[in-house]
Amino acid sequence: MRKALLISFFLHVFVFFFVMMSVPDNLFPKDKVQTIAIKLVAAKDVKKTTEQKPQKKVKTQQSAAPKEAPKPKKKPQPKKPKKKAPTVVKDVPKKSQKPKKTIQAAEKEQKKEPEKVAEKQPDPRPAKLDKTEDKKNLVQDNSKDAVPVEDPEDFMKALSFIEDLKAEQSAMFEGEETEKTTINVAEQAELAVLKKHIERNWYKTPGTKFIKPLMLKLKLNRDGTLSSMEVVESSGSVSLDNSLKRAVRKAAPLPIPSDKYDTFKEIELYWNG
Amino acid sequence: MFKTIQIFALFASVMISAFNANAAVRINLTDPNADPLPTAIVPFDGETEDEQNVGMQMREVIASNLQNSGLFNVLDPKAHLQSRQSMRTSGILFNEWRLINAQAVMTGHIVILGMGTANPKAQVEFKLYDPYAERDILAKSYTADLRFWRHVAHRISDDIYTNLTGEGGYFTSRIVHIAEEMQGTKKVKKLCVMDQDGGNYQCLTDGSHLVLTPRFNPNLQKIVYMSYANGFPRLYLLDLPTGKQEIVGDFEGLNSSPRFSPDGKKLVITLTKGHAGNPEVYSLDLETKKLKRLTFHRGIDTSPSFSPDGKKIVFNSNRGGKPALYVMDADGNRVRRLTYGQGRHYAPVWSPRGDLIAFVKEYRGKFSINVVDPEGEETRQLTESFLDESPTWSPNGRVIVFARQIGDSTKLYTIDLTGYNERVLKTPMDASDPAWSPLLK
Repeated sequence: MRKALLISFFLHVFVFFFVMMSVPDNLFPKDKVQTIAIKLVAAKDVKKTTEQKPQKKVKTQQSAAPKEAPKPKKKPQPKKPKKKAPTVVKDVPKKSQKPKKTIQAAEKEQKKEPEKVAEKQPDPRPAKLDKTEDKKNLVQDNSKDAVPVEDPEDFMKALSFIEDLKAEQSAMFEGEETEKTTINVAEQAELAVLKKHIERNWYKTPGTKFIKPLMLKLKLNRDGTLSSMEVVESSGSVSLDNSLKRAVRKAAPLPIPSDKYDTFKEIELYWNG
Repeated sequence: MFKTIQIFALFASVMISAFNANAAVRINLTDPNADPLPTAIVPFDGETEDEQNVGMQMREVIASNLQNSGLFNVLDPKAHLQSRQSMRTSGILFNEWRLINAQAVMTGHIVILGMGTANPKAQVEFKLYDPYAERDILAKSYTADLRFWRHVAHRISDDIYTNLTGEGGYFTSRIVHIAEEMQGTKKVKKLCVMDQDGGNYQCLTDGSHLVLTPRFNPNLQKIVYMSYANGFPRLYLLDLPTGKQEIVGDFEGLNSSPRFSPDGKKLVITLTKGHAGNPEVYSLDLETKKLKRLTFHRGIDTSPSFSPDGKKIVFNSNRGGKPALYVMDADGNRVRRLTYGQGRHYAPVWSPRGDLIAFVKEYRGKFSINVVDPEGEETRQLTESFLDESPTWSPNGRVIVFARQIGDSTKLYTIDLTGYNERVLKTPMDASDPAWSPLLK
């Protein structure tokens, strides 16, 4: 009897973990790996790449579409006035309260987006200011991320540009396993801010002999403070490794958007001479 | 049974963490801050006034070494927030140093033993802290005769420099050069030597004979130079610590531009011996005194310099029409041209780091110091004036010292290999033809 109970327990545990590990994409679309390749390009160049390769737009659209499939009807929502929200409730009766919040959140974000980038550059520690809001966002996280906030056309344009960069980058780092998914314009801008912020704090001796690439992996807490830091690949010079570590400590807390903690909680810093 | 559950849970958690392992965004850093590193050098503390004075002087030497390297921004002691008193009672308070943006902090202590005796000794210990990691990253102590306190300060400068930049230091080194002095109406040339910062200046010859082209042995404190002691040019070898001098070369014809091999056992020189006044490159074994001819060309071949691995020699030749740089194997084989392009190229010197060759370029009446990589792919101009000449490398291959003539006066200048941080090296007399020593042991 006891034995059977034990076996049953283990089987349950096993099945539970099996489900957790092998079908997470369908159950938790949010947990998808996000690798964001970032490269700063002059504004005019950006336009060129997007204009010259219109066929890429279609590609991106196809790849992005299935991800947003679970909540297809929300797309047009943000544009509609608030009053129409109840009609959506019928479609999703169990989550009757959530759609409203989503709209509000979306509107919030719409307002925030253009400001964020401008605000952040002068202020090295904006993440702290958002602390109170942070907790609310925690609850909403799932629904919120799926809501497209920009004009769809611009969004796709931006994506096709990122697609190009990704192709470039994957050529650079062949054999790497991390799955590449698309990111939105806002995240890209936030990452650029982050990059600048760390670079500004990194005093690197100019003109030293380059030995090999350096990779540092950071884990962050929700407020942008450092939870852990490890050298994944040493540059071959302890001094150089230390200088980047010092930069990160000096830069902390890092200005990560409080509502996108899951995207930014782990960051790889890469230096290639 | 409990144990098995534990093991299973452990296994499961490992699996989950493995599953999440790739969830990281990557940032490619491209544009780090190239400003000099803000560094705090706290005066060495001591019990007595004498100790504190020496500690203060040593701090000045270290601070000026680091500042002059161009890689450090040594913070003014007036800006230090933590007082000596506070440091004594509560140790280093990292927060106070982070507030003034110090990336590294050096503190130290000095004890003078046997003060008042004929031979007092200084016991110096120091620590280098990383205020952001909140721990010490370097701790050392030195004991030396008090009169050598400058030497100890240079050693500590090198320790700090190496720890923070990852490159070898160059502060514990000397520069030998030809000093020009007016004696009455006559201009005389002396062989003089000083610390790399201009301290401990002394002259080794009295100026009664013409001296030229001093060069350091890359391992020992030995200098080879040319002297016209009896009216003929001869090569002399001078041992700096003992002051012993010997003639190494007494050959027919002009012998000029000597330079040591990396192991210090050979010299490469230019001789006109036996081929109708045409300068050719030779190597000379210092033990067996055997000569070996390396170049065979009717053009002028001169100014040879070894690569730090001893496998190649760069030299100057006009065999292609105008003076340019050529590289050959150490045995004289496989000669190939290194530099093309505008102007005439002279006086190559291979960097001790091996990655660059410095040379003088003359173009449209102006002289500049340039560097080129050993493959000849990329040339970079570092300086320009009406007469820049005689480049020589610091022992870590980071800084070049050269002579610049302005009007009637020639002075020594230093420049970083990135082309920044050009500085005058102050000397009591006019100075030319510098040669940088290896690090002192």
